[in-house]
Amino acid sequence: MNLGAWAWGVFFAGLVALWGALFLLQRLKVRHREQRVLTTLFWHEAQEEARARTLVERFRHPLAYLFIAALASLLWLAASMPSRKDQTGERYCVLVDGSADMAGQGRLARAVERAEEWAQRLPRARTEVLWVGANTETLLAPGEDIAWLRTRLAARDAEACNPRTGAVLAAMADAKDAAGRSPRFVVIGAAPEGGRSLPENLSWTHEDPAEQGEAAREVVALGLTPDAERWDQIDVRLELRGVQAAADWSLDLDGAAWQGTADEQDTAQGKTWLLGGIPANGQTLHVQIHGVQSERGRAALRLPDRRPVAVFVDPAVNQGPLAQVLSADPSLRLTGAPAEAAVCVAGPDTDCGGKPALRLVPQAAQEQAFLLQHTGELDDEAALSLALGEFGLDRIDARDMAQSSGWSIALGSTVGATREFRLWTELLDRGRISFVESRAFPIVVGRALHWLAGEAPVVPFLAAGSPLPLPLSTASTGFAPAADVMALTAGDWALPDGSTVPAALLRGAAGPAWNGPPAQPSAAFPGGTWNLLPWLLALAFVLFLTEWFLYKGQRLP
Amino acid sequence: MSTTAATDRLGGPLFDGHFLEEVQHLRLVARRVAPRGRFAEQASKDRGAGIEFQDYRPYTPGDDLRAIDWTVYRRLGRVFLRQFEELEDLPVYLLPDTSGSLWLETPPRIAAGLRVSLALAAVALGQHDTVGVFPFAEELSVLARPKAGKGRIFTLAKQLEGIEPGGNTDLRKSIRRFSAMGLRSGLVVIVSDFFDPDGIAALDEALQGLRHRVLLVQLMRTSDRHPERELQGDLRLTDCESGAVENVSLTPAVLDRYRAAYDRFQEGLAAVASRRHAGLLALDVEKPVVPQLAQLFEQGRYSV
Repeated sequence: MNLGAWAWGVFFAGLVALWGALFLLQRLKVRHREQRVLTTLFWHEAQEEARARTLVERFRHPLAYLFIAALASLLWLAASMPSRKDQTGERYCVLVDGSADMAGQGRLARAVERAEEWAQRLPRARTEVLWVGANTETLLAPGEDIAWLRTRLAARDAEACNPRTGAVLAAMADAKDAAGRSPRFVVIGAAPEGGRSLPENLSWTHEDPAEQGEAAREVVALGLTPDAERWDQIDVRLELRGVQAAADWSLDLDGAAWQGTADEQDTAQGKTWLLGGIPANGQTLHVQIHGVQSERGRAALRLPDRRPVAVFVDPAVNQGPLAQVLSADPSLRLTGAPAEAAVCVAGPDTDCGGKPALRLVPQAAQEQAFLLQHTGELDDEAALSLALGEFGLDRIDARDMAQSSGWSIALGSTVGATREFRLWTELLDRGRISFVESRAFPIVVGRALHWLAGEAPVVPFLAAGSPLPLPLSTASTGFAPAADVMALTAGDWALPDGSTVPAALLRGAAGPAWNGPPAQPSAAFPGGTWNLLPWLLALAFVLFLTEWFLYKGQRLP
Repeated sequence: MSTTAATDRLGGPLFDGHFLEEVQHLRLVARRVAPRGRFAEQASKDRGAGIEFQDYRPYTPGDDLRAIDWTVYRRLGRVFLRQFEELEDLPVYLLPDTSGSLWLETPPRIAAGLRVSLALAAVALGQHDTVGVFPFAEELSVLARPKAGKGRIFTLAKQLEGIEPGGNTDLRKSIRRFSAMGLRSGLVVIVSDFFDPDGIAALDEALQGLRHRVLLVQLMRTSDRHPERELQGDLRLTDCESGAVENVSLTPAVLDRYRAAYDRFQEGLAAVASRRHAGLLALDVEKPVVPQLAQLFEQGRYSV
């Protein structure tokens, strides 16, 4: 048995002090009640006889003292909050889930109550309580007074993030003590997510504050893909769980309700709707499940701005295969006015008025077959990756071209005042090289012009708590590919250029199911089935009743 | 003090018609009353003109010729007078205790004390005996000098109702004072709780010089032996007469010792009564007086 309120030394010191105080009270002069009687003759004799039999002053009421001492001891023990003895020396960690799953229907309030109960139940000196929201914070350090817990939890609310208790479990399971033992965990909240390496001997228990039969209604997935037929439109895929009909959710574009149709499909997790023909004009698309107020019931997506790029083509180069490609690409709008154009297609010396340009240059004027000029935002490696991957240069057969032409097909990058993509004029000569014949040619031209126009990448989705999707994690956005960069909470997420992208809580992106050892029953933890407090109070009550009946029966003064 | 006020203090009137009816069949019978009494119904040591023949004695001049036994004269030739038992009265002296202790409780013990005194007075007056009332506390006083007459009962009742609370109990002084009055030998009825500060010894000493037959009527309550029925906890007990104080915690042990002391007191009282050939009636003041008094009168008679 151990004490939750204070140490054993304090308990015994208090007990001795109580007994001493009660003993002194017994020895203190009694406050007698005045009573007139016929005679004190017999009382005098009785008192004289009592005095004659005692050497020292009589201890007045030994039985009464025993009763009151026992009663006080029981109450003192109860105040010490005893619980089942835990001599293992193990450490305990209570994880309070602060994710969006805890929002609504009193779940967080119930989780807070359970956290307090666990904090009282477990050894105070070896138990810490952590808040696991978008970040992990300590609510109660080991040995800290338990009163702080309520104060610190009072201002807490569920955060717009996915559950991270699985990640915290995985991280903390490695924190072993001197004896090589990992802490034991109590997870209060949604089931921890899996997908992490967890020790087989992980000891944990789980309490879900969700009420029985509480059906989850949430957005599982929301993403877009460019429309296969229309450059300026996109298709959206929406997957919901717990929702059976399209009437149970709504969709709007910057506040204006969307009136299109959706193709419905059943999936393992729920239902999926495919929404086509949505204009890709940079608006924000919002999905809201009716009646669900938490972040789980809504999601947002920033649509790409895919309006055709205005291109001015220098008449000197507007011929042959290039002219064919430019006129055939629906994402480009050719204009004769250089001032209107966002991008210029020109020869090596044509003045484009400071606008980005795709230039055809003689082989003699440029060492590399393809030269990417950027304004310094990319390093060399990122620039080459961009050219190969995004422009589609990886799709050309450079070796065959080199062998057939005898030229060295190389790629280079440089820094300049404006963006430019320069390629040899000779590459367009069908008689000398097969570049224009390859499938990569229109792709290279088109994507290069879009890059030159500074077009934002298409972000298929942005899920809070998940790695950035490819377009955002490339060098073009300023985020070098890095898995540790992610939006932690749902809401607007700032990009390096100052713009924002809405991040959504998507269950489909939240991670795989738990793959660690199963949760243990709570009884496996200290104090699980044996709470001494009510028994002590009941015993004290029985003792009090006994004392009362003895007093009323004149057997106790 | 008005009668009404006294009646209120006593918890009701001392007697009524039913009360007199109840005591009518009781009789006090003396084996031989002291001489020189009034003509009444008790056998006396005096020879006189009664009905019961008792003895002969030689004729002396001046004797009543009607008493000469002429049969003896004719047989023996000598003149003898037939002597008959003289029927005289039994003086009954009622000594009700009026000390403070008898007025303390509700209803006060004095009420039962005065009722039993009045009952005995009614019995005595009913058989033409003389009755005197001498209330006592610290001192003995004379409330009613010994007189006979059935009609006196109402006067006595009124006088008893007018009794005022006395001070401390002093049995020794009071009884000696009574003894010093030199009254004709009779029946002294001491009605008291006998809670004298000097204990039973005071009563024993006082009765030594008393040349009367004695009847002790002890006014008691059940709670006298079982004080725990009324007292609990830690008490500062003050003697209502002497003002003596005892701080007492009513533990079982203390109560046991108290009961032992009370039992010794009772035994002492009984021993004194036995030694002085006195009657002893323990009268429970919470019960009707006359039925308890009747128990003293075996077959309606109490022999002195």
